[in-house]
Amino acid sequence: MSGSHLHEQGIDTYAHLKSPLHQWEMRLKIASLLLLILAFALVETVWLLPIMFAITLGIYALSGLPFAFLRSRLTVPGYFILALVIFLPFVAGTTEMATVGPLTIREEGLLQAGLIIGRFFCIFTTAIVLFSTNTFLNAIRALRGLKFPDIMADMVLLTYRYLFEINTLFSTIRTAARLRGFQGNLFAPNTIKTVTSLAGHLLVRSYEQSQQVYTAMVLRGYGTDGAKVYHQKPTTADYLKTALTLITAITLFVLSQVLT
Amino acid sequence: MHIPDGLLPNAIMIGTNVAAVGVTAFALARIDKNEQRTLVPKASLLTAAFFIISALRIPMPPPLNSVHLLLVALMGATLGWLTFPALIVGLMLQALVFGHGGLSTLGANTLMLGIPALGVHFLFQWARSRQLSGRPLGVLSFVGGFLGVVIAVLLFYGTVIGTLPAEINVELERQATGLLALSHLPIALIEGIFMVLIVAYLHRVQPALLNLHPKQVK
Repeated sequence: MSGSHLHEQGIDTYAHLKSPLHQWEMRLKIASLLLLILAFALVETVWLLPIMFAITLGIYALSGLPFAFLRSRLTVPGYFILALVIFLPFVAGTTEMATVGPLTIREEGLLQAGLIIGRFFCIFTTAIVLFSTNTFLNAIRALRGLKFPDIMADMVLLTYRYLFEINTLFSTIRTAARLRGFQGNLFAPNTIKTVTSLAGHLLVRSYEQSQQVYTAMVLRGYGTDGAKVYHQKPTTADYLKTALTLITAITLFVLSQVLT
Repeated sequence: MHIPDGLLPNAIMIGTNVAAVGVTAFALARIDKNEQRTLVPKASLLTAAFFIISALRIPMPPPLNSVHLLLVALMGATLGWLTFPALIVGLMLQALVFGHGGLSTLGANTLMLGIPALGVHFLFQWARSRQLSGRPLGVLSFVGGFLGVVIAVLLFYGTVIGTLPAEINVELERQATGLLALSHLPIALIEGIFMVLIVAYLHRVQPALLNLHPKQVK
């Protein structure tokens, strides 16, 4: 997998900064931030949104990741969730707030849409911080340290390793097909057949390559435990960050229960 | 067609994640420890290939403009029970690398695609036991591809609309789900035709891909 592809996707681009989030021991960071994400997901009242935004933006600022990076990652999923909830203020609820032409905006629907978008923003941003402040490889090692099943960790690593390589291969095959006159028009004869041949060719190539990959992995000691040991030791500062995050998550959860 | 973070209420979010983890653990337990290592590279590379192919856009007339294949039926036919771990891995990478879907909705998205895929797996197991080939296998492939999309779409819209606030009119909910599912019929038809052709292709070129599991699953 070429490094340039990874940089295009951005997941490891800022992994080598020196912020407090980057220096946080990965196992503790995963456990803490996943609990915080769960606390965000469990919030059912819109009145906690300002606190959630403050926590999320505080964490993001501490991570040292550029805000342009967050904006670029948010664009596509942001539009998607907007499309899913945009109709809510007009169809959900009974308390009428305002009338715009033939449409009536209702309070309950508006609050619900706000809550969904707010939760999405906080969870999405925290997940970006969690996986962009360390290399992806280190994150998988830490997951193993947290007793994530070996077979799943191996699958994540290999899928990630070959995702971009197979994409490059697929682009090459598509370019070759286009050079031979394939335009991808659904109503042109043979389009679906050509798409099937491209997909079939890719699957067969991937399947055959997987057998070579397996042989190579066994030759390099796949199945032995040496490569799976996680060495990083937490410091006092790591425990402090963890305690602070856990207190925040628990407080948010309790507040959410009380206010709901 | 992924459920994003923040959309699902607590009970559904927790329930679907627990269910997806349970089914995945059950799926992994069905495969021998020694065979797991052999299957890991195959499942990983095929997962990567499936996600690349599913990003391929097929041009359509407006208002759809273009569609992409879901491939749930093909995943079920080739990966069998491994579809669940493969989906969790693939969807997790999609959420982290591309921002599609979400971490808190990983379980819901896995079940939405995994349930129809598993259905197709059973359909193909039945076909293997009957040693189907030729036209009967083609019909079965079409049914698998078509129903795979229909069930996934119904699960998606059923979850999204069904979990929105209780103040929404129930009849309106039902009509919206039906209409949105109907709008996906062309995609289901294309997926059905694609499935017929790809099964024929793989059957001819690399039949082991469709026959991965009967010998390997207990």
